[in-house]
Amino acid sequence: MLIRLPSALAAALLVCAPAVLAQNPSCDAACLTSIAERYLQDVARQDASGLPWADRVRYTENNVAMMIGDGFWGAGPGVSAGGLFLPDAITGNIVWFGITSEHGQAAYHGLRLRVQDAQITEVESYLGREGTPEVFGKVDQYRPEPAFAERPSSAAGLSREQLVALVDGYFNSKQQNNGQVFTAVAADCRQQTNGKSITSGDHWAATVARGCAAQLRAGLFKPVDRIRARRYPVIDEKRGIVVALSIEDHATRFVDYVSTDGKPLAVEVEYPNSRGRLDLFKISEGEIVAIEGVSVFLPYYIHSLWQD
Amino acid sequence: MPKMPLMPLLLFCTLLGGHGIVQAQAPGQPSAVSKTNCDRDCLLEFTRNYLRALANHDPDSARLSDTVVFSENNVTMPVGNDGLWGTLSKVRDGALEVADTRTGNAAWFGIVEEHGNPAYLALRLKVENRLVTEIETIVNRLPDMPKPFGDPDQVVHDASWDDLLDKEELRPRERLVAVADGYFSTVELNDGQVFTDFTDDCGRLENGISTTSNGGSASIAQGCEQQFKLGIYRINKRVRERRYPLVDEERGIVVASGFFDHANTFDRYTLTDGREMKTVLKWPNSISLLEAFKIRGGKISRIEAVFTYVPYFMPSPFAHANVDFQTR
Repeated sequence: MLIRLPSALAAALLVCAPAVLAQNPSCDAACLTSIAERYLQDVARQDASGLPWADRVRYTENNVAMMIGDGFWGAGPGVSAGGLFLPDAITGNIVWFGITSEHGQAAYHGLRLRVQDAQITEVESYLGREGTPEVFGKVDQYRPEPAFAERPSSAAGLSREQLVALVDGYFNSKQQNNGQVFTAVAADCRQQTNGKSITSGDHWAATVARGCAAQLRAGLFKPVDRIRARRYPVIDEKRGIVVALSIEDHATRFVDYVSTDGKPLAVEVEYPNSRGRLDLFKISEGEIVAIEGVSVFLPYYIHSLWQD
Repeated sequence: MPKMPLMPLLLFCTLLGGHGIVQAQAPGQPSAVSKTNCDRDCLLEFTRNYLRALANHDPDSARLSDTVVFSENNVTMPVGNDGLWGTLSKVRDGALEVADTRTGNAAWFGIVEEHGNPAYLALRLKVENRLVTEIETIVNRLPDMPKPFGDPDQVVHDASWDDLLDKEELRPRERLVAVADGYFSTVELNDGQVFTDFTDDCGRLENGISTTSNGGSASIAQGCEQQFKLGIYRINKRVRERRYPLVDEERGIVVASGFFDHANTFDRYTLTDGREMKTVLKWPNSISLLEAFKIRGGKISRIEAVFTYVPYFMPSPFAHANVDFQTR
């Protein structure tokens, strides 16, 4: 027997359908975390046969598509214990940030899995390795940013959209950085990239201004032309964490510039380049308090395989 | 008069229609007649003019087609303000220049400066109807990962590149490509087996360094064939997306493009003489290159390449998709 729905009801169901599907009820946070843990175990064993793959899977490594088994999977992979698991049951994504190795050489690794119907459909890895022009902190001296281990955050109460707006405002402030700040950043906000502090210690930016906010106000990031292909696949409202993926373009049309307070500055790499980034943002009391992530040196203007 | 059934008739008419006529041409060719309205001097002048336009940051003077495709290190981007167009400060004199009047391609291997810093540039232009339709550039810069980067003030392009070959040294286009392709097959999974021929005095210049006589791999073995017989280059899992857009039959030159994939599934290996080697990098990476081969009498006598690191398995915008490699 056919049941005919009133057209208005059918239309309402169609409108609601994406929201219902987006809840991804087939795999909650614990399920997502379990799949990510299995993925990491299996990549270390170089055996992908036991993972719950969907019929169509996309795998990218440093923004290049390839087959599972190639790239990191084939290069004597190791996975260090620990790392941070960040599931988002609403989007069906889970991000893991930690340390892996290839033939014993360590790298900072940001991994995103997307799970639909309890099956892996997308795998996106960024590996920040030693020996490229990008910053790299020695692993034996690395300390994970403690703010990301805190829970629950006092950020509870901010909506997903508000959290994303804060991060997007950070990117708007950083690109073509001239001191104007489009977001709220705590005075003591800290940033680490590839295990290296950008806001304290001996990094060049920290010798000019300390803290995320002071660096943005000083216009240190003026050489960043664009931050594009921004995506926010994981948002944890309770912990006040947003995971952002982006590509930073450094056209390098100039090599010398001055900070907003008149200090002479110079770019580190004097030719066009881009950086593929996976960053975690911690938001507390309505302000960004910590940023930690992976940044990979890439050919200038490289197109995002996930969004552009 | 016998009647033709309707469906076969429709099919017949379709084949005779516009699509049928286009499909009747040689695959990939816009016309069954190749028009060469730009000779060698004309093509070389296109590269020189392009470099002048680049140095002047004046894309309007580069004679570009409305649909030109521009790539720098395999990334397509707008022409005129990005990549080298935003940074180039000088084009140095002295270059290896090659042209192919049959395909309408020209190539230039030389040195440029960005903000005063030297960089090795390999440039390929495709010219159609006296307009540039493709610009492919490989730029090798510092700082970067460990790689050859010769002293830019000492680079000399071997004079033999410009030699017109004697009649007995000439080979047809297809054979020249086969010899170059055999070189790449030898590099791939290099285990001592050699799939091409070299002259005894074969030499190779990579990013301004002679890697067969006094730099890089030459510290292990000297000479093109000797290095391959030792299996020095075993780390090349694939030489992928090989293309041969330029062939100069009179001079015996092939210009090729491709990628060397260093999957690094191992970080130690053994040469055919038993010596153990360690890979410099431990993680997967690829090298993107434009490479010229001088071939005399069917043997490679000179090789000159510009290459740079790119992310592992990165594709070229000018090659077909990586379908051939997806299951390897």
